[in-house]
Amino acid sequence: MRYFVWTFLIGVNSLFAVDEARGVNEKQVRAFLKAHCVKCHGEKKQKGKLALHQIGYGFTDPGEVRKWEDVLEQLTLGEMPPEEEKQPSAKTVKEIRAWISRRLHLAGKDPEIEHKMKQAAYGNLASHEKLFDGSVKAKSFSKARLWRTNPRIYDLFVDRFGRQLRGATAIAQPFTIDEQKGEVSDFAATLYADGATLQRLMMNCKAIAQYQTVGIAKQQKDRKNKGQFITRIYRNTPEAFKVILEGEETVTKEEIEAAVKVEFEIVLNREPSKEELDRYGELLRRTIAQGGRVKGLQTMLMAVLLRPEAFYRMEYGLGKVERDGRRMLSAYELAFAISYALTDAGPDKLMLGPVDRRKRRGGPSLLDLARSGKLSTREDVKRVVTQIMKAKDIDKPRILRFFHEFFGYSHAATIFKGNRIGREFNVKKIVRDADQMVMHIVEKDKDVLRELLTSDRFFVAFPGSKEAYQRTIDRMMKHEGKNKKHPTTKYLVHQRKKGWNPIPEANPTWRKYVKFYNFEEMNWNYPVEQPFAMPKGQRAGILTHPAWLIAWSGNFDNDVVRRGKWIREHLLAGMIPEVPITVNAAVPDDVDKTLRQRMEVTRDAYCWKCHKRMDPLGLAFEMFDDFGRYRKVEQTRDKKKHPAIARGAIINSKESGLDGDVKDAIELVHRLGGSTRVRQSFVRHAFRYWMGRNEKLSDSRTLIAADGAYVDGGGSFKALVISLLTSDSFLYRK
Amino acid sequence: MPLTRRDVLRNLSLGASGAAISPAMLPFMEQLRAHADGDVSRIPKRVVFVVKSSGLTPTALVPGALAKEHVKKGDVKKSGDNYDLPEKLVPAEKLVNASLKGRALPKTLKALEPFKDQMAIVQGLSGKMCKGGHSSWYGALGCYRTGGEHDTGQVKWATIDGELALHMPAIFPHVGLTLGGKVMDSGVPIKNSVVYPGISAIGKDRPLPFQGSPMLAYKDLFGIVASGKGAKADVELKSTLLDFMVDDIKRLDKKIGGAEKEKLGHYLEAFESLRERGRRLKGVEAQVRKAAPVVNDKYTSQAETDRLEAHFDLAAASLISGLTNVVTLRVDTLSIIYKGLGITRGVHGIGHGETAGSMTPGEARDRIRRFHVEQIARLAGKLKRIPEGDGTMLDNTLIVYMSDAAEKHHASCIQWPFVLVGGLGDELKTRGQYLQYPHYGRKGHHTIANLYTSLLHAVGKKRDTFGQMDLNLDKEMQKGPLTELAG
Repeated sequence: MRYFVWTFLIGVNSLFAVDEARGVNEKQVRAFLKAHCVKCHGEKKQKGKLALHQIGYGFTDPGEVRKWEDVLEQLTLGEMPPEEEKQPSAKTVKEIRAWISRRLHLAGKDPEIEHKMKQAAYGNLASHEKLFDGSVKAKSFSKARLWRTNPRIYDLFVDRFGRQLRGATAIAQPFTIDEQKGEVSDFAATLYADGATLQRLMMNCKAIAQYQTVGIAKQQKDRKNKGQFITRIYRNTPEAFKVILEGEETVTKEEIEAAVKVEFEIVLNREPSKEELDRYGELLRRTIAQGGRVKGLQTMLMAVLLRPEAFYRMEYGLGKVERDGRRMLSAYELAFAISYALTDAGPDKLMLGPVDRRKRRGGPSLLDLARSGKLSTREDVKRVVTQIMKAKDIDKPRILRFFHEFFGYSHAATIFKGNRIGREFNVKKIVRDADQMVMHIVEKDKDVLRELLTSDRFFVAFPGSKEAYQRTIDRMMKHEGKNKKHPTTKYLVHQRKKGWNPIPEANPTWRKYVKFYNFEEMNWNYPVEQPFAMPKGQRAGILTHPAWLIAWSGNFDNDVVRRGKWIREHLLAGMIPEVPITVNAAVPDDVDKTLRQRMEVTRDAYCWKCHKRMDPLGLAFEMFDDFGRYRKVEQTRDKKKHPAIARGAIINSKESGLDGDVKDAIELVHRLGGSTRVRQSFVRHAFRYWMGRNEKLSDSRTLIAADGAYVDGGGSFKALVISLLTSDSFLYRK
Repeated sequence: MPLTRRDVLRNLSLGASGAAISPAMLPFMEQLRAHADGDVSRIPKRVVFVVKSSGLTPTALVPGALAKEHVKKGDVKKSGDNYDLPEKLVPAEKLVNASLKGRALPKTLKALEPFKDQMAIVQGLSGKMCKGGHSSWYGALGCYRTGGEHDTGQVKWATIDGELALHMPAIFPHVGLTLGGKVMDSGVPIKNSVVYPGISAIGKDRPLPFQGSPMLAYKDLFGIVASGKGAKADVELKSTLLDFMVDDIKRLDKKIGGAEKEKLGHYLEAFESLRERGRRLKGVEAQVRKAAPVVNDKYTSQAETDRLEAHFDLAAASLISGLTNVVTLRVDTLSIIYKGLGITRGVHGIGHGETAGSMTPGEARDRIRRFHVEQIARLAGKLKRIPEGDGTMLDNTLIVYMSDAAEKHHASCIQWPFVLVGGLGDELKTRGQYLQYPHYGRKGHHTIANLYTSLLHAVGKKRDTFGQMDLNLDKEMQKGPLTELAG
């Protein structure tokens, strides 16, 4: 099987669409404002206190620049002109936007809206109604882009040089990702490599080049002679390199080309082009002349390792060109895109062949499929993605990570509770329980979102299977059982006397963590079958899971505002404006008032404008304390007890039948679970995660199709992901 | 009395006092030249920011003799979320400008006694244009509101350290050294990697990196020392590699457009600056070799205090060797536990009033501050021993000790205390003053932006304001530098 020829940017002019308007000039912009804006923002009327009839075109006055920013923002968001007015064509709007943007940039102003549109937190800026009402007919695509690698992918990348590399030397992580609770973090537009990255990369590449050539010497204890040290050389040198390193004659052209090819294959998973082969070959010849065979070869290897392509996924769209100018990703690009959409390993490590007797999956790899022409069409992609999604043995860490980023519950460990609680507050276990619940629902793949939001069937301290449970209990009996005074022995005896199953946890302190689900260690018959139904009326779905409740709590209290904000932005597709800079937001800490009472400060008309969109949603969770325990009474700081009131409301959801009061969080999540808007909002977040960018109006078709696939599949999350990964937004570049 | 230049050259190990770094190091060649030809204007100015998390409280900085008038008992009953301090600074009606001469420094600042005439305690500035709470993120040095509880938020523009770095370029425009990652990150393996703690930036959307490991920072800054002397081939190879990479990236760059070009631009810029740095380092290699700190086990120690000492040594050496003019030391985060000081509770717990072993929260806070101040004094001492112009390096270096979250653990940013040591030549002087500006909103009140404007003025970048205005305050009081610090 021959490798397909890589036509990497050769003979191709700019593949990146630059938003340059052609043929739009100031006169046309004036005409546009006159036709579409000044009726409401002119001499007679100044809606929103904005007048555009006399706007200057100099872009020098700060007030004028701000007005142009406003115009750009409204056009970008598709908010203006209003629906009932005559609409300009999408092409015209695009050109006008490009003209304004260019003038702003020339004036040294980086338009705020363009910055925001790149951030996951502002994804909801695009109109939800327009995205789903089917009015946008444009075909979807993503812009050609470079997507920087993330720390997880890099870790696995380093491993491909040989397992012993890390044992021989320290490999520092050059790439960081700023994880924000409840937001997609791996966003193509916001990640890049800077000077600090390069410094780390250089050090790592130097070590890798050494490991691939002469090896890294390390002093270590001699196992045979105690107290003695020996020097061991760690290396993994491909044959093609040995020929150069150990040869005595002049290095031949063939030897040089073979070495370049090997390194390209290891690092970039492809053959070099003719031009690259010449250039890297020439480099190797020169560096051998400058520094000898060893250092010369190491320098060439570093040059390959430091190529942007080694850590930027390059998505140009080198495949078939459509009539409308959109370009499909090439087979090679698709292999990487699919592989990193679902796993952290490269496409050469993602095996798709039959499973052997040892339950290990063999070739071909995804990359092999690409090379043999079996990854060229949408149908090919669909077949492969479906296979990966359905194969239980293929590890897909990106699925669970999506739910971590969407719900934010995995951040529970970052919430500081100080000495208010003991070591039984084992957040890792609580998060693991939530993970099990999520993955169980995802595996069942039926009504996934509704189940996630409303299921009362939880996992608590579940070791994974009945067999694993029995093994754990046997181990507890064997070890702790020897010592009759050991608390675990006493616990096992106590449970046996009661005829109850014990919790499969040998550590007596950690066993107590079940209290965060309102279970008492000594008064609970552990359910061996899991998930199991929680006590009636106490829990429903992830938002009532201690992991989520803790993640969205403060140091001392529930975090009503951020819980409400999360629901507004993640389930209701809404946006909350930033806190005005004149506002010093803080919850008063009266010792004799419940949190609900203390939150009344936000009822001030000025505050309530925004807080009504958050607080009534967040207050429904006052049936739990800030450790996620269900409660009927709330204790204020003066130690007095008050009934815990969990009344809440959905206000201004923009979906008929969804608004209204709720008696508590249980009613709230059930109502949300049945909502179309909530489902669509979920689809939008999944889109962001898998495309690595925010949705634009031109992604409308992709979103509608993904939502449809989810619904048609009976609430199938797998169908949703398959739909996204076979959509035009995923496959096409422009 | 400062050593003469000849003394410095002759005896390189004078007064090492147990530090890992030889204090008698040669300043940058430029400075020597400036010194020789008496051109004071060419002497570089330098600024070191020492940024602490929770715990640098206003009352801890009031000298004993002034405490009676300026400190009152707080409402100690309050605890919990908005944990109040047992003591509070009395809001001033008028500017307090008291000399430190003849007054004992407060316990926290004892180590600075030798520099009493060359320091200033600055109180009463507000920073309400920033987000309060656990951290003001980029706001603390950038004067704007950004970030949430756990996220750093948007970088709106260069923070003051970034701005100074742009204006006072050196081989390394900015050196960031840290003990931790983001303010509340826990369990992040930062010891061997670069982190973006979210406090410094060099421009919009351009956060500045910080090095967590002193050992790797040493390799970054003083790598030239580690490489073998006279390995001409190595230098040639590196130069070939960098030229090749620049060419390789430019080839790619021609083919792409839009925002993606910018991304590649960052990488290209990194190579170009590495290449440029290599060239410039060649010219000063001898000086850098002399100034380089001696690596010891503190560089890889598990103890926070050890690593912090190493960071301060690196800061001193990079300033003295002329590698940089701007250093930001992120000296702790809320997750740091100062086991080396016998404190068993993290900075976060102490901030919430938890006792730390045998220490009260107040004692623990003080112990941590004293450790920082000792390090600052050590740094100042090294700088003071190096002659420069008519005085010493300390006359041209300002050390700023500050909090990233104003006055208390969950700050409201109404009082932002600062300790300044050293100066910026004739343009900014600390004269042994205790300055407390009139309280928020009162006549004569100023904000942290005024202090940063003072720094910019001192380095020749004259502008009216810095950062975002506090819209609840009179605009005029937020403009211009603090005249009390003018040279």
